[in-house]
Amino acid sequence: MQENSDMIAVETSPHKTERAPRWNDVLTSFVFFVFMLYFWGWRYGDYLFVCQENSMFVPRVEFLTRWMQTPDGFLSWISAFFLQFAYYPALGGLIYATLLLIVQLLVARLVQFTGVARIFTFLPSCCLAIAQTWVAYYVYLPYNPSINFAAPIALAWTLFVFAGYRKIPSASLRVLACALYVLAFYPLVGFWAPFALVLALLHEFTLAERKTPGDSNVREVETTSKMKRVPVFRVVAIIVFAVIVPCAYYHGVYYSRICRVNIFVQGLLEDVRYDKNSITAVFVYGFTILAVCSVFIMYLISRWLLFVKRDEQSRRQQRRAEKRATIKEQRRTNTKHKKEEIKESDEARAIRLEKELRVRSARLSWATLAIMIGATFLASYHNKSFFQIFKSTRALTRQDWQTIVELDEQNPFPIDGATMLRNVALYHLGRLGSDVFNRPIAGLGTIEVTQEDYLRSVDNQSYYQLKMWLFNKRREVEEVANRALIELVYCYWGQTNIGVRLAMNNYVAAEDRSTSCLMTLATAMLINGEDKLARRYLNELTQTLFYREWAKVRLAYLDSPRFYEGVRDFRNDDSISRVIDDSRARRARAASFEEAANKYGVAADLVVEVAAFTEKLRSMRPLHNKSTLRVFPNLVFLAGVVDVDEFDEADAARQELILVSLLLQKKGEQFLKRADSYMKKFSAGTAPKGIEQGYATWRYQTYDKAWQECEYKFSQETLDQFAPFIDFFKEQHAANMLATPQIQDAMRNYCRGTYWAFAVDDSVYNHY
Amino acid sequence: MNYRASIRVVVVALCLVWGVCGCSNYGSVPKEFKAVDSLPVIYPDYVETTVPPNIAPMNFRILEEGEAYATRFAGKKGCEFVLTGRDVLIPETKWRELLTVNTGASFTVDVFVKRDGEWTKYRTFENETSADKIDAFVAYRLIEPGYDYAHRIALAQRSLESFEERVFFDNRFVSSSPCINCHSFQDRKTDNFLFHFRRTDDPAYGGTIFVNGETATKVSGKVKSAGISCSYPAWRPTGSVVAFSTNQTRQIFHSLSSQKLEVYDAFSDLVLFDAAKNELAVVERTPCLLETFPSWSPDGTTLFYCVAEVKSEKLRELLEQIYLAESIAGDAKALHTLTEEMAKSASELRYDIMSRSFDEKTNTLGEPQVVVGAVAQGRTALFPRVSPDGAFLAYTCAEGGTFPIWRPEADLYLKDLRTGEERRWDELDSDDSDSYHTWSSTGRWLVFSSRREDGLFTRLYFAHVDENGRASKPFVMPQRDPRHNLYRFKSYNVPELTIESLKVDSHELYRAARGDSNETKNVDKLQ
Repeated sequence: MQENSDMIAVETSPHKTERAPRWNDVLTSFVFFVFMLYFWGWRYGDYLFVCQENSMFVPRVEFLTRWMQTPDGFLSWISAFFLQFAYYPALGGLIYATLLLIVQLLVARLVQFTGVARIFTFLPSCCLAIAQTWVAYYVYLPYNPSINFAAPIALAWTLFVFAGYRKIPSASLRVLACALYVLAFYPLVGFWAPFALVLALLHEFTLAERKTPGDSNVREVETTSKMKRVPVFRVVAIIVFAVIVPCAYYHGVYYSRICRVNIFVQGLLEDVRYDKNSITAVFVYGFTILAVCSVFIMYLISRWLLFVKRDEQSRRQQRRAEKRATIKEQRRTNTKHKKEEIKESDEARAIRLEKELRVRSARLSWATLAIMIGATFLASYHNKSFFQIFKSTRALTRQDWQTIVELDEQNPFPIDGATMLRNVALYHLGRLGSDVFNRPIAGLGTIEVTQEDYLRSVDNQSYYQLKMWLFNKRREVEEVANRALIELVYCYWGQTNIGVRLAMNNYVAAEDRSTSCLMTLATAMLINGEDKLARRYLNELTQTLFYREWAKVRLAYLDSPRFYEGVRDFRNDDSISRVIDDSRARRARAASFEEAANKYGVAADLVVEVAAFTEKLRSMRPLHNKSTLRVFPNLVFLAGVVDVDEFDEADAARQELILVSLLLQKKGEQFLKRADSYMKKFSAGTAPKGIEQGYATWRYQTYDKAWQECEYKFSQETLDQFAPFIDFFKEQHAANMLATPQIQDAMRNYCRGTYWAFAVDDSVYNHY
Repeated sequence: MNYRASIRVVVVALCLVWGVCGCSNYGSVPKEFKAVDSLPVIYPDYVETTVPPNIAPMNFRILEEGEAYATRFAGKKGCEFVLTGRDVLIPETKWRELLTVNTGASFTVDVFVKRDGEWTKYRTFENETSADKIDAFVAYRLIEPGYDYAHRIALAQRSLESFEERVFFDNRFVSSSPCINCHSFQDRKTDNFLFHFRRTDDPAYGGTIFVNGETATKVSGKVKSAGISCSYPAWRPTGSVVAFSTNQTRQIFHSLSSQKLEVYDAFSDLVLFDAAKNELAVVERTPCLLETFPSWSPDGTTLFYCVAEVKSEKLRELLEQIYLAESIAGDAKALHTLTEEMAKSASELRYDIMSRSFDEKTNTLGEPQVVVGAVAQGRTALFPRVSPDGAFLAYTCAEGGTFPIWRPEADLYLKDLRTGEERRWDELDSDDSDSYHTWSSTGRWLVFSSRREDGLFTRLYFAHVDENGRASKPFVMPQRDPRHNLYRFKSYNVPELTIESLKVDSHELYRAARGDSNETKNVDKLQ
């Protein structure tokens, strides 16, 4: 056997004898795992919950075959399976953290970096985590909801398979394995199959086999006489398989199901969700690609390191360590109090140096890990509104209105999405009229970016231009927040047809895989009395793991006599009333709530609760049918949520809603027309505060000094607050200063929480 | 254990598994049972219907609660077998035998359910096996019943003699998911057929795909005067002429009604298209008449279509103004106003069915004649379809509107063209929308779309029609898994029966779709 001292490739790391103690590796991985557990299980726990709510998994063969229409279908199916456990965010976080840890461990095993370099094996996991957070509010625009877990699962699987590939001793078998793997797995995991072959290619390209018996650190591999020869045949074969097989699949099977450009990226990047030029796309696509590239680059580096002679490496390191020791010694000798130096033996010195090296290496590793974790933290998408929105939408599905309001109060700058949720919560708490103007209607931009900032940016001042650019980019993302469960919000306003329309659109976009949309559709159908469709959606939900109880409670309500009694109240539809006569429906009916609940194994009081809430929402439906083109009510300013023409025949709650919506839209004349009769019902100062303030404002606008001359007696609080405001307003109006940013800010600060502050607020975000 | 022995063990194990799986479906009826005089509730409802002798196995699920189940099939002329299990999955060979032996006769089905250790036998029901075969294939569009958004649309052809479904065009081939619609076959054959696809973000990319044998071409199909492309097609049974309507279709949404939305045409006209020459000619520009849904008589000598007259003065003025413009779609502001104004009365729009004779030599149409005067009866009549023997005209009737599938009250009607008698087709009626129907090539079977199952997801129903126009109880298209329709959140749209499978390869269709379209020449008259 010949030795080649120049190019020796070994299967094990040349640094093995110099590796840091294993405990350090274990500890860093553990700390990383704990961080990711905190990150996903707690910090982004609500976000993970919403991700699973917008995904779906049912254990049915038909469900699997539906996924298998595209190359990454199986991967998405597996991802949907794991994602469903995020119903419990801690559990979902645990799974996700474990996946990311597995990725890190496999990468570490693959590249065999030591010391500080080992910390870079955390990079792919960190990148995947960052990418996932930047999906942000787009989880509410479902296309492939289970993309969340797909990347770490696929990467872990690929690395695992590749580790096995490297153990195959025979080169021919390895080539065969490549062919079989891409043939078998491209339809299942898409991009990740050719990616595995890219790693294999790198492995083959940099592998020069050597057989050196007697050296326990070198693994036995195939012998070749020409140590520097590149295995051309193998390399070409792998390239061919990696390219040809996916193309063949495309032309043979997936021609109609994916676009040509997606042949090699299906399973890695989602095609349709984002505007490709948006900041979301940059971060999501960018960090996902970075994760994959970092694995490739690290492996490339590790293969390069294998070609460096171990001895040379060690000698260089030893020389470096000695040099450092020498420098230290010199410094010590220059001190005033010279100590008697103990002459060490060479061996002891070597040990001491090695120990110092290890300690230094460990410190650097921890520092690097801390930086990496910190960078992950900072680079992930987050702000107060983000966490508020996801917490609030969880509360929304539970009808926990109080929590929604409390969460909103913790955020001084609510975005539109937050205001939308707050409005519906206040209504259901019966506090819309009194509390709607307590907080900014939509504070985005009014504080973060001022009028002056805008003017300076227009004036080409670079800093302010950058500030505006960043602000606009953030807005791009936050505008999508308005879609947060918007379909359910419409249902909670009684606008079930609109809710159904949006929920169905989203359900279609999610390719019939969205629990959230199904829940909204079922809720809307129950409200509308469309029992067949309600049953269909609920039956589908009973097949899920965590929503079956939710569905069973509602199925029990469907089978209870109260549902059928309720549909008699429908004034507009014979087809609904026919439900009563349907023989199958009669057969399914139970005699009571208890009987219905027993049939489905749920608690009767839950059924009663659902019945009561459904009936409340049913009473909120429009009184008369209106047909419109594609118009959606505005849920921030409540325009179109209720028909103002229905005021006279509406109940008190609906009248209050109508008046508040007119106030929000600043339609003073229409407001006054209806408010006069409304306010007469209240004794002195007892009308809802917001409406009273609005009444004062618009009466002043219309009647000037005679604004108090009406049947309703204003409360002392309103009189005390409004009068100084009027004086200030008149003064600034006379001086033509009303529209100036300074006066606008002053009025906002002075009158914060009142209707008149809202009414005079000229900021662009306060306009309907 | 050596290699050969291992192989033997595996083979034997596989045979055992296959045997168990294959045999487990068969069983025997219980000897002791309690008979009840009610029909079993099964899904789908295949009770007391008439089936064609070449239909795929009509698998169903027994909805009665129980511990064990047995179902006995017995033909009047022979062939009997018993299946166990709640899902009654009929082996194809047995089903074929049952139908073949009992063609022209009937077979009975007995359902047994075990509850609390005791067997109950439900009332026997009988299904007729017609002597008339049904066309072997049906083509349809698969689309979710979304309101604004159709993400995944596909055209598929399903064999009615098996469960094989072939998707021959899927809108996933471009990332913007274009709309695919209006597939139409000439005379129920697949030699010549067409369909449209449209991309709202890039109208120039879309077009109409014409298939001739194994080749496909894309044409623009644009009507210059309307500024829009052809919509609803009707291929003349012979020759190369296709009748289209050009429709400016819009939707309005209801805030309260379970109907949810209404689809209407802001304007529409009739157009004749020569597929061989890629030329089209507008039949007549009629601003105040909305002509749509053309359909040919079996001999191609008569064109049937629907027409609604716009009565509102304001709308008539708007339409006149728009039609005077060089291109109807060019005057965006007027069009927008028209759309909004039309929306107010869209639900009350009512159509009559008209007919015009067609002169094959001159490619011209004669004067319109009223065939179904639905407007006078306060209704709207749509989708005229003449039976192959020319005896009957099937159509859909509703209280108003243009798109009856969104109308719960929409029903199928039948007019005897020999006697003039019109009646609601009560045998096919349901509580929900029944619409879009097609006759089989023999005229003895009808397929139609119905939302009777849940009011939203359209399913295909088949019914036998005798010489007198009496229809049997309709049955839903059989599926391998009886619960398939519960899992499939898509609607079956525009069913068209064909006697043969598609000859063209899907690759050819995509090649044509991705390529450039041939600009359609607008002429005054087809030559």
